[in-house]
Amino acid sequence: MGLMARMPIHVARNSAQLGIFSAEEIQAGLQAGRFSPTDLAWREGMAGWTPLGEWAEFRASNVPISSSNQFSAEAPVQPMPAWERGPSLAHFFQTIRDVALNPVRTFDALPIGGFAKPITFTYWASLPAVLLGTLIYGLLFSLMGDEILRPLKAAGNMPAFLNDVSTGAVIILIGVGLGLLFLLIPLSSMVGAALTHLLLLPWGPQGTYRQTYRATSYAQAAFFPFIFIPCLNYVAGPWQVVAIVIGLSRVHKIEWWKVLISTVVVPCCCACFGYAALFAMLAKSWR
Amino acid sequence: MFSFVRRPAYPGELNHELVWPLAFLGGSAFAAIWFQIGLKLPDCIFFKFTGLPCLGCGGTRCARHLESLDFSQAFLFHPGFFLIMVVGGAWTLYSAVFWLRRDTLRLRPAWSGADSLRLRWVVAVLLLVHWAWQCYYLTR
Repeated sequence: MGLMARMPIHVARNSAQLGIFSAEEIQAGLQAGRFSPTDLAWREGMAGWTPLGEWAEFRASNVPISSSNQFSAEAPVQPMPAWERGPSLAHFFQTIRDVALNPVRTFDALPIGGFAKPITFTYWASLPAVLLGTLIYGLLFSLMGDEILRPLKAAGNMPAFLNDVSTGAVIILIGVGLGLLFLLIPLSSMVGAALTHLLLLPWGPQGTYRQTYRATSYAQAAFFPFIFIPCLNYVAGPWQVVAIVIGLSRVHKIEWWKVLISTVVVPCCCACFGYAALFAMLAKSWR
Repeated sequence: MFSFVRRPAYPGELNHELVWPLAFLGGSAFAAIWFQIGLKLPDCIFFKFTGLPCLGCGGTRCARHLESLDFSQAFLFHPGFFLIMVVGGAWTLYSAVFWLRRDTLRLRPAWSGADSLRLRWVVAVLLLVHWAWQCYYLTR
């Protein structure tokens, strides 16, 4: 066996890395159906990723692509939501429709993929929300900024340097703050998905953290544009929770009520406990 | 064995050279503005009830010392947060070099399945040691 053949091979499928394997493992995996000839692979020295089916060493070994191979035997399923088929304006709106109106089918067809597509979708979905937030707070401060800031400054609740800052500068600061929040979206959604995945662990989820992240990202982001619209948020908020529960239930093959306990009941209990503790402390300090 | 490998990105791979530096710089700027404005974080409920610090306790004090470039105090208050900042800074620096050189090969950690299990144990033990340190240092 040559030196090249002994080097480990990196394998990826649907925008997700499957791991690092030896040539023997891949050969056996191709025969057993663990790997597909369409899976992308790379080894040190290669310029780019190439489908396993095009690798000379696996073609030469006459690896049978048998009918038992789940990847080649099955007709390709159209990935859902639409954003998974590529980013475009039409797919953006179709994704919102997929998640909101057809969550069961959407999350059944959600492929095992990477983080990139849900992150870009989250960005595009939160952009209108951030712009709307800036507009609302900008308008509020433009119209009555002085009235809002004057009592705060008089009460000494503002940091010293803000006492000398004009209302316009405060509006700019709010814009900068919202912009920074926008930059932190990937981090906050990853941490949120990690907590959700932790709460699902007692039920034995079938998917990985990556799947939790993908499902929660799509289910949350699809409703972002509506959450900030007055009145509509009363409908969009609960609907979002339903979509999240359905999404996680389908992706991890867990009964919906178990997901509900992990994603709604436990966090709500924790929040109530936190609020109760906070009020108890405040009441104690007032006495 | 755990190692680093330089390889091209596969189609659809998260752009780690873009996302994490942006998150690091955005988070740092956010924290700096937060400290300048003088805003405070709520007290830790876990600490209030148990008298023991949680895993995040000391993080803000670490960040405040980092802001004033007092590295030794920053490390003592929260070694984990300090290390995350060091790694974040190093990754941002590497990413800047990556973009400036218009490189196509990306630095990625590589480990086998067995190493993955070992790494989880190491992380669990490190978290425990870290918490023990916090219990000692933050309750002196």
